[in-house]
Amino acid sequence: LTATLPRQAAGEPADDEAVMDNPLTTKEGWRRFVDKEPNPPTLRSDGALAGLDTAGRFGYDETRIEYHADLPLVNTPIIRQVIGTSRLLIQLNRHQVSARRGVVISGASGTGKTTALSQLGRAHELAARKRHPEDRYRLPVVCITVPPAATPRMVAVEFARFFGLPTLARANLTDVTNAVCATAAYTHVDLVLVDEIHNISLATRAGAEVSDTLKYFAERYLEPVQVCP
Amino acid sequence: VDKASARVAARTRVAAAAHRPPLVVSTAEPDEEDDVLDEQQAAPVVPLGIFDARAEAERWPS
Repeated sequence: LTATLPRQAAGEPADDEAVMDNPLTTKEGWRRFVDKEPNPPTLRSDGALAGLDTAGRFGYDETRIEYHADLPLVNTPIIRQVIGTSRLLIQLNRHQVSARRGVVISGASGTGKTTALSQLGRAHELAARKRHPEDRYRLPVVCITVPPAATPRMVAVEFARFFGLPTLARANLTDVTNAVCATAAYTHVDLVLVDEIHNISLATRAGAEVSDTLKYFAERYLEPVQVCP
Repeated sequence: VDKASARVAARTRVAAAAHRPPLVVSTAEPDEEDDVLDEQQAAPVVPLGIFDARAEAERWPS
């Protein structure tokens, strides 16, 4: 749990490397997820296919398989409800200075909670880009995952990792929190997605402190949405 | 293994076990009559459509 490693100066990394290094819980990974659009491959005629060599045919098939493996998302009732309710709360929170509203999405495993959460964030970021097309450095959505056996500092470091802020070993919780909140204010964060909050156990002191830390972030950020099983 | 590490491992084990979908075990043997009955009692298909975040964002007020 340290800052994102600096990139090699010589050129961009390969796509696979970039995806591995930039999960959804970093600003680069999140931006990649928001920008991703399905790109259907151009279908070739039988004659054109017959003219391809083995490598060309393999590449053509791979492109089609890649496209079909990226299935479209069905607009299920849970997605509609999550989007509709959260959108209403985002609007209600616009001018709140405290006591901001949040949503906890709870349900059985595999029912699409994280999918609904990520799609809510994607729709919100696209809407924010539409409202502020001139601001390329705006980060309207922050997405983190609560690590197992989390402590308040680990959660704060997760926020810092999303922004790519360096977190030194000697930096205490207050230092990290202040850096994260200053960055969030500068980049106009207005929606915070927190996944896997079942990793917070209120039966332990550390878990209760994590809960308090999230509450503190919610007071200084804007709109928290949390997911638990 | 110290006490703190054992506690973390146990907590992770419990969280992982609680995070799995419940197993559905069917004890009855399927037969042809059941298949015919299922087809007759099939619920109507509800078209849900495709969720498009970009179209959703266009609908949001600016």
